[in-house]
Amino acid sequence: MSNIFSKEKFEESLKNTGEVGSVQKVSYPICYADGLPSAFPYELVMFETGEFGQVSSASPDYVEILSFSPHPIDIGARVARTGKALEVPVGEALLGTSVDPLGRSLYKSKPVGPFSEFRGIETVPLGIEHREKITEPLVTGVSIVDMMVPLGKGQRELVIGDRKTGKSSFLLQTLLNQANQGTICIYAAIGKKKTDIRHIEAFLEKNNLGDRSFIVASSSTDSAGIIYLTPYAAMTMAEYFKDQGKNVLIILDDLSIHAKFYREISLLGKNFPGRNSYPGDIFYTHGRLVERAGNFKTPNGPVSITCLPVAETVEGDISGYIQTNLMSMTDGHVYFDKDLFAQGRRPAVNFFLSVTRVGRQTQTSVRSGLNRELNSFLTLHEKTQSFVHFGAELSEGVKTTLAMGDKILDFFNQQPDKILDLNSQIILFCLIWIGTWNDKTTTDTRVELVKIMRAYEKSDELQSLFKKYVDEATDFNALLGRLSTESKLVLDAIDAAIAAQTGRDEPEISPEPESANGTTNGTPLVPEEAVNQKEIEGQPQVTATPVQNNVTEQAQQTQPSSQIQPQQTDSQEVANG
Amino acid sequence: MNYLAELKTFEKVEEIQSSIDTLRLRLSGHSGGNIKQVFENSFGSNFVIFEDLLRSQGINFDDPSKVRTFLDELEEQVNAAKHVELTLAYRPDDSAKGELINWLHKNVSEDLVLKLSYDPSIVAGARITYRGKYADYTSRKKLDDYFKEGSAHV
Repeated sequence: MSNIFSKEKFEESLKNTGEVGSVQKVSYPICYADGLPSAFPYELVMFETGEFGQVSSASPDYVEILSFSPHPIDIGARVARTGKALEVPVGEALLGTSVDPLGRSLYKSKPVGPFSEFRGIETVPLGIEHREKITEPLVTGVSIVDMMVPLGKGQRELVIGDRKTGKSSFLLQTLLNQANQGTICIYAAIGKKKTDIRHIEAFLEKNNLGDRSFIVASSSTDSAGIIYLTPYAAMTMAEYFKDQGKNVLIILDDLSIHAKFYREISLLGKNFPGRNSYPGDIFYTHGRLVERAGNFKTPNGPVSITCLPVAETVEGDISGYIQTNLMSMTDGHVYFDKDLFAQGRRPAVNFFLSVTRVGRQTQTSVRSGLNRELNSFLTLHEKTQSFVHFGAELSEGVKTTLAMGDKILDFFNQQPDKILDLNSQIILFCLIWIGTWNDKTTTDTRVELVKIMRAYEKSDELQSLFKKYVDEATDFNALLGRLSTESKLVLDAIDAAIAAQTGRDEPEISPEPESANGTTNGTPLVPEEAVNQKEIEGQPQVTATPVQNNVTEQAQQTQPSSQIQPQQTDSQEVANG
Repeated sequence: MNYLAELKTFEKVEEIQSSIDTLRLRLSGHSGGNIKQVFENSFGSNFVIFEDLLRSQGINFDDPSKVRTFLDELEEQVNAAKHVELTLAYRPDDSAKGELINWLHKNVSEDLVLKLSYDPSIVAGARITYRGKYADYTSRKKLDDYFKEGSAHV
């Protein structure tokens, strides 16, 4: 690609178009050039230094150019038209690479290409006649999202929350799970720190996702023009793979930074400022981008571009200008709550404030029943917790509700590098729900669950058993009923898988925790080491309690409350009432 | 009044632009006295052009307001001057420059200002840029095209 930046290329453009201009004024990254009488908006222009720019507006006297150069263009520098709108290279060669929005490798030592196809970055979103109803679920591998805020393929779901609340971890988990299922995953890092970009690269490398994913990144030190282009270039690349008949997941991290850079460009371009000094077309800027995602008709069946734009909030304020704009142009949002994060919930998704507008229509009857049941129960749990704060003496029913709620919330806790299969999510939840571990504390239940999850990953028998139960169930109640009656069979299968797993793993067990405080990436979960150590020493080992448990041991040993629980006590009925 | 007919070359225009800036600075702190002297100091060798221009307009050096109006008009015209950029393989002498300018004024427009540059690598001929249009009539281009064509046959 280096020859693109040569002076010969500039001379060639000059000869081809026969027009030249010279830079008269610079308000970096905007510059104004005279000449170029036939320049048109969005046309790619080239400076004699080899840098590129894009015509943002043209008047009889001058042409306004958005420069992509990392440093200001000199006054008097010549500029030539290229005669074409800005295009980016697209193709299979992008997979496994990290490129900038112009399709150049981020590393000189790892050139990208060659490419046979180039596409304009500004395209008109396809109309409704080209789209189909979203019917396929998009499994993120994060149980709290898959169960409480389900997503569909082709959905545009905003991921919103304060900084350092686990948004990026969730996005990477989703990317990992989707890439494992064969989806092409594109991570657009918009104006990120170089260390953040490197972190994403390391994640993709570690999980061998090179053949199904790539990164389109602009660093915070890049020109505002380059940062502005990033999501559009990534979406153009996503459209290429969609046209090849492949489902695509695109992550735009994040659009609030994008909006800030667009504001900078607009103000320097002397556009009239509106609310919070953002230009009047900021909604259009993002709207025309996310509208390019969706579920599209093709002769070989629907193909989707699922878009996960990210927006950062300040102090949990989700009513900001850009945030509400993005909420209104997406099909829902997953809200990461800093208070929940401080309480130790990982991921800190606040499902009460999260919305999914099309995800539920993709669910099977089992999942939708489970979702409905969970929603009503967790609402009850939330209300009960508020009631507990008054210090009233608690009835058995209330204690049971609290204990079960805590266990479910703890079940939702997930390590940032772990993803959960949908079938395992459903069966494990059902086992908790029917009271399999009612005689155990929340922490002990977590230990059991971690053991099962580890065994499940390795055991084909367990995977096929869980799949059989989920596939054969007509609805959630039927699944619960069957699991209740056949719980011994299931638990025996689980024990066998755990025993086989323990036998395989025993020589590798290390009792040392990963870090001094026994946490992983700051996540106070019960680590797998604790499980291993317990197995070795034969005694309970509690390292952390993710959720504050307000109930006594005696209360935890009582039967959980559920409207569909086969055997209910009087106290549970009170709690449910 | 077309002041640009007197200016002719880009170097001259740049000199005048710079002189106007200097003059404005000096006049802003001038509390009376001999304005002509200030003009002379600011414009140096170009003072003769200004003197002629002012005389032709009937403006007296002792009338600061008329002088300022004159400067504004002059600056506006100078800034709006259309440039013809000409790249040649040799440095033309003054008489050749004069002929070029006269030809341009006669055949294209009297408002034109010639911006000459020198690039021996073009071998012969000229590169011309006018109002954003670019034309390459150099021997270098012809030779490049010739060799490209030749290498395509090989």
